[in-house]
Amino acid sequence: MQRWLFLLLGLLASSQLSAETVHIAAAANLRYVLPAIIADFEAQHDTVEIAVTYAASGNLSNQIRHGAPYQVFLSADAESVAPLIADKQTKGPPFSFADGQLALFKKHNTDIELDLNLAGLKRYLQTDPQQKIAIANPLHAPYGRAAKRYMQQHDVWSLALPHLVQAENAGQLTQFTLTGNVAVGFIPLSHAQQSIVGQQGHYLTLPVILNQQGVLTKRATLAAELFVAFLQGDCARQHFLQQGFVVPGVP
Amino acid sequence: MDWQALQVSLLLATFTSAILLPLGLLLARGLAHQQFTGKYLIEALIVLPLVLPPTVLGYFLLTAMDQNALMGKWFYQLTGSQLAFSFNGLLLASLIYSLPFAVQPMLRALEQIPYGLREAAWCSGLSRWQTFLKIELPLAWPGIITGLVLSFCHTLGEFGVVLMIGGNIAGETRTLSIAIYDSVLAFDHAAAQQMSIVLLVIALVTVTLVYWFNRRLIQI
Amino acid sequence: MLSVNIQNNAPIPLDVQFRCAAGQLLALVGPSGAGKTTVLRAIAGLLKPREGRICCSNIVWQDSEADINLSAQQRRVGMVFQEYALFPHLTVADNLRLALPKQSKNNSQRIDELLQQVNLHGLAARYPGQLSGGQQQRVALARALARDPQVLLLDEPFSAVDKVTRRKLYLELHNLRRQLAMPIVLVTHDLDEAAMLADEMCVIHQGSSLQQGPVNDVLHRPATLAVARQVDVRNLFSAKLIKQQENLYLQWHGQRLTIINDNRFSPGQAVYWTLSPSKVLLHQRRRPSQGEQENPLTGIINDMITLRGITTVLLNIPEADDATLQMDVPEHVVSRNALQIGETIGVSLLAEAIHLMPDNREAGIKL
Repeated sequence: MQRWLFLLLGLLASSQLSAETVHIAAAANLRYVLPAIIADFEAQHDTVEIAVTYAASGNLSNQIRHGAPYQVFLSADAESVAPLIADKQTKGPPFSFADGQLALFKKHNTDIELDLNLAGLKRYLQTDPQQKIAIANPLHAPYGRAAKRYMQQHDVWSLALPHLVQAENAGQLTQFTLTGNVAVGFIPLSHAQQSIVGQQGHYLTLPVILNQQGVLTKRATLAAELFVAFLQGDCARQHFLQQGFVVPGVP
Repeated sequence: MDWQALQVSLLLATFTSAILLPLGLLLARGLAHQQFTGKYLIEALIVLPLVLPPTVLGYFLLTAMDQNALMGKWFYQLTGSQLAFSFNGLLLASLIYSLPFAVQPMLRALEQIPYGLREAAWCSGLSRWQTFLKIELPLAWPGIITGLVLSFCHTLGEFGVVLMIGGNIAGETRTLSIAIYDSVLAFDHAAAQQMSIVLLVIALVTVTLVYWFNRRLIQI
Repeated sequence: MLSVNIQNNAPIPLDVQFRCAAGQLLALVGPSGAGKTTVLRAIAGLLKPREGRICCSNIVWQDSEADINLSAQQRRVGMVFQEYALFPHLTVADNLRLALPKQSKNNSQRIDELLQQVNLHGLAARYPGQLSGGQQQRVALARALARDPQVLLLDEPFSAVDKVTRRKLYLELHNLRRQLAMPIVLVTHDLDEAAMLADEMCVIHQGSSLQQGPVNDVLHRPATLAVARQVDVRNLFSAKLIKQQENLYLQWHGQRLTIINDNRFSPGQAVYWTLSPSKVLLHQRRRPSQGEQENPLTGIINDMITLRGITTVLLNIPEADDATLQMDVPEHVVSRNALQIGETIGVSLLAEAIHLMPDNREAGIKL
């Protein structure tokens, strides 16, 4: 409706009036991989336009439950999808399209040894440092939950607690990690591999796998289903692999 | 540069200020030079969005717009579309949080008109409506324009409430300020910079225009 | 004819009655806060009094019993506000045009006429902010007249201009009112202004109308002590009435003063009396005249003040326990008689000018 009125106002010419828009709610760690996949998809389907909103999976799940008009939900884990299924907000079963990985990132100027047991981080924390550790908010961001679990498994969680900064989603997390006040950040591998991030430090891939789950909401149209099919296809898999994801069935 | 977000922002701000112009005038006119019980409460309610944290406003709106809540249900039955995470919901929220920016300057301008002028108009045979049109409106014009522009600019720049109730949906609720936030998170500083400059220029130009316009009117 | 009889409780208590004939100028006088402006607002329909009746040209504007209350728009009043209340965004001509009756809204000739009437030529295109105080007052007057009103109300119209302008405006209003046929009510706290411009005067004090009458009557023959105080009579004394040879006399500090018989009063009654300072006659040293036999007194000149050709002589009267009597004489009389402070002179009090008022203190009436 507002588009029509907008034309009436003549403020700006609106484009692609004929295209159908599919609204997608996507976990923030997909920010660097989805645009390329969407571009390929749109190249094949020129009447479909994909509009993506990136946020923490927990937040998106919550919004959809409150009626946000998304047709596809791409979560960073299965936990955020479950409530939607229970609430009968979905169409069809959930599907896996890629597995995300957690990475521990440190900036060049910080003096921490990166190791899988987090021993270096522990030593660093015992010096009662000024600098912080960045994680995503474990309450609604899957990468935050994963980071918390990993630290708990290696007995650094209670040590780290006073030094945590919590980001709203994976995007903000990486943003925080690159600021001068943060020593290390538990960020998605897909983010750590971005050149803009990689230039500023280096990372260690942690043995933590996050099963990225997607689901169609009850608003899903045929175009949405087309996109979901495309997401599980070979072309999309190549993009996921390139961006630091593990794809089921592909070595 | 997210042109769609600019569209949404401009559209939202235009609708908001266009609706608030008559609504704000009506409220301001009802409050100026009037004494009645409950006036302070009404004034307080109008100013409330100014002092209330956007998150509080956002929370209440989010709950009220839910399809199972009274307002959300009512709107759905009336229009067949939902309020939460929609442009209409955003418009409703903008009307509430920009209300004080529209009403306050209009109210101040109307109250600055000496009461004697209204009485002089009545004694000259002008009805209350004519008095409003011919005397009060022209004299309060700078305040009315200020209210209009402030509500436009404030809607254009609002972030907190939009973030909470809008859901950042492209073409629907992703405003320019949300798009800026989004670009920063995506390390797209070039886009963030462009959009910030657009907002800065719009704000600067409109505020300058208001000052220039007011000065010109006062010189008469 | 405008007749007003209103009672009100708020914003101030009011109990006011007066009438004003067509073509007459009635001044409502009283100190600030007495309720004069409130009365004017009630006439204009800007304030609804609790009860009462306001009638103008045989049209009832307000009648609490019949539940009639015409709005300000229906009342056809011309009102000049204290601060003029000109519309600042409109030119002089547009200020007037707004008040013109519908049928003559586009009659620029009528606007010219009105501006002529108040001696404002060639200023039609100006804005009020570009006018002097006196010019603004004239515009306000012209705007009030533009509506072709049935009554003209002037609320302290001279208080916002300087003295020189004020004198000019007095003369203009004096001339203008000859051309006007409607009742005119002027609110002022300035007695001289009222005396100069008005035909009749109505004294208002603490929301009550105390006395209405021709200007000289009210000023020199106040009905009560309260009125006397409001109109600021200068010679105000208390005395007792005595009867000798069938005539009433005033017994004042041991002096017996001849008065005109007034059957409102009886012998032995305590009264107040007043005498206009201009009715105190100076005994000319060289040419004694007849009037000198009337109530002769001897006084010592205590002080002399001259204002615009009139000298007020303050006399101490030793025969009357040094009471102070004021006498107004033309300045040239002072110099011809070489009056000096400290000198002893003889004066006469004109019996017919002595005015008596009841002294209600004994009856316990508070004034």
